[in-house]
Amino acid sequence: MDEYFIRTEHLYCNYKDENGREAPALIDINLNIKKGEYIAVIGRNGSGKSTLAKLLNMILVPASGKIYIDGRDITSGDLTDSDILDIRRKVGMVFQNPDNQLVATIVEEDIAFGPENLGVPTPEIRRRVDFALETVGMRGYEKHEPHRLSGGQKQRIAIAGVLAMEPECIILDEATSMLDPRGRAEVISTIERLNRERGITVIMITHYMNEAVRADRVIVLSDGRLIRDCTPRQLFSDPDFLRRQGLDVPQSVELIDELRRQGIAISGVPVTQDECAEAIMKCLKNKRKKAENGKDQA
Amino acid sequence: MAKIRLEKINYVYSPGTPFETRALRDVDLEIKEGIVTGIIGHTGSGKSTMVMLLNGLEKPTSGRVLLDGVDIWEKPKEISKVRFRVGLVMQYPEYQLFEETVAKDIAFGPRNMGLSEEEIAARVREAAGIVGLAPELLEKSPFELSGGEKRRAAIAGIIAMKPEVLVLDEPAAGLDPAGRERILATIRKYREQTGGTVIIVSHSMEDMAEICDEIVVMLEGSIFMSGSTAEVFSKAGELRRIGLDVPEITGLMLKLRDMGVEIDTIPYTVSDAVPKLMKLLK
Repeated sequence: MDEYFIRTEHLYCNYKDENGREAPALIDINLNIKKGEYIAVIGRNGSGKSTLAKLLNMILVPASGKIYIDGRDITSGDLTDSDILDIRRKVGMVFQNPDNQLVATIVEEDIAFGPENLGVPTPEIRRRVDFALETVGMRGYEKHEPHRLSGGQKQRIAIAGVLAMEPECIILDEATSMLDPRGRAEVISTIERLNRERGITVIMITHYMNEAVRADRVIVLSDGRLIRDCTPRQLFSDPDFLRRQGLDVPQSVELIDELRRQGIAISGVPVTQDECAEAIMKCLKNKRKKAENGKDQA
Repeated sequence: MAKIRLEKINYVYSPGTPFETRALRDVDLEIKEGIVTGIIGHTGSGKSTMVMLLNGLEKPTSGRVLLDGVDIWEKPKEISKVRFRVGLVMQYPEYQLFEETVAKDIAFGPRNMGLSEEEIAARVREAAGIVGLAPELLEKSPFELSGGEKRRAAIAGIIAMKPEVLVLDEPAAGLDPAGRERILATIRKYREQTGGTVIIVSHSMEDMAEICDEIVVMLEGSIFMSGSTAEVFSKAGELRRIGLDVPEITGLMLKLRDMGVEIDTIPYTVSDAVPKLMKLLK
């Protein structure tokens, strides 16, 4: 049994550029993801994030290299249609645009679509639909029309559709980027709950650093290469790296960085707003103490 | 001087049906000339309806929209002239690109205005310069561009009409940080080169803090609050009460104040925050 739920070895993938030439989209990607991990994938547009997601879900086929899902080599070429369906059931995807992934005209039919195609018996489908809606906090919307829902609600229905397939991993490809802050918060808290309470492996492709900061591990892609695989804290302790990669630096981290540049000694690696506020408070207290000591000596 | 004034605007969707929704209620608002005004609020708060009223794409159920003091619906047949004067960049405008080349797409608006070919070409070049599209991209198909480039090509199409007011609805939504920064740069450059009035709708408080002179906060079809960017973001408590946020740096400085640090005016950009803290820390 493989220790890792997802493992890639020397993975390469190409795409056809505008002149029809083959260009590399991913170069030598070696990745290990354990069951239950919460991974954020960041990188500018065109860095290969979506290509990676589509390889793991078998929407794309690699040029070379290996991908193992739950111990199974999905690149071996001897997979039957039912093997492929099984991989897609295990690794579900939620895409960017909430309007492009709902297929039915009633919420519960949309969620039932996947299990129906798998031939799941009707009472079992009913149970799964109810469970999925409950989990994403959308009970009571069974008979609603998806197109009348808000963006955040539509994405939660899309997640429920994936959940009804009883997946072990969910990949979100910029699934919050078209949502307003409230919708984004709805989706993120839903996903975090699934990860924490159900042990579902989460791979979150995102541009928002405040989403990446909540992950166990952050993977940075640049021009098709995996250039960093570390904890969020390690990543945010290097704002220059983020800037060079064209990624956002959280404003709190930027402030600490600028104060240090101007000669203020700030200890530790504060990354969240609270940690940064506390680090600044500590400096102020130290300064006050020093001033008082100075007075005593005088 | 008010460039645009809204007087007692009401807007009702699908009146007389079970879906009747009042999107705007008794809205009075002045948009000042030559500055950047931001509009913030939740989805469904009436922001997008309001921007569609500004250039006559929608007609208010009651109330008046005044452009330079004149009711834009006074002569309904001439409403298309208002659309040249108030240019609206809708959400995800790149879905509306359709011409064979980027240059032709940018030229679409100016051509509808009946301008000479020479004038059209000059405007296309100028607009492409403002949005930062390299000349060699202009002869490509819009579909060969990256997402951020497509977005800027669509914005250039509106800028090329030389509107007096440029209205942008969520111009940076869905772009990566580099793409978002280029959109902000475009707005700055547009302001520098034309001195025009800009109205921008966005969910990013950090972007709004950086670019807006004034901010209007919408809530359930009404104006909840409006004022200078500093005034609006100083009312963090009220904004949070209605589920909106303040820029991250503002939140951090408010936390410090709660912890007992003396900060007179709360900054809303990092570059404002640094000198204030340096004074205390040095």
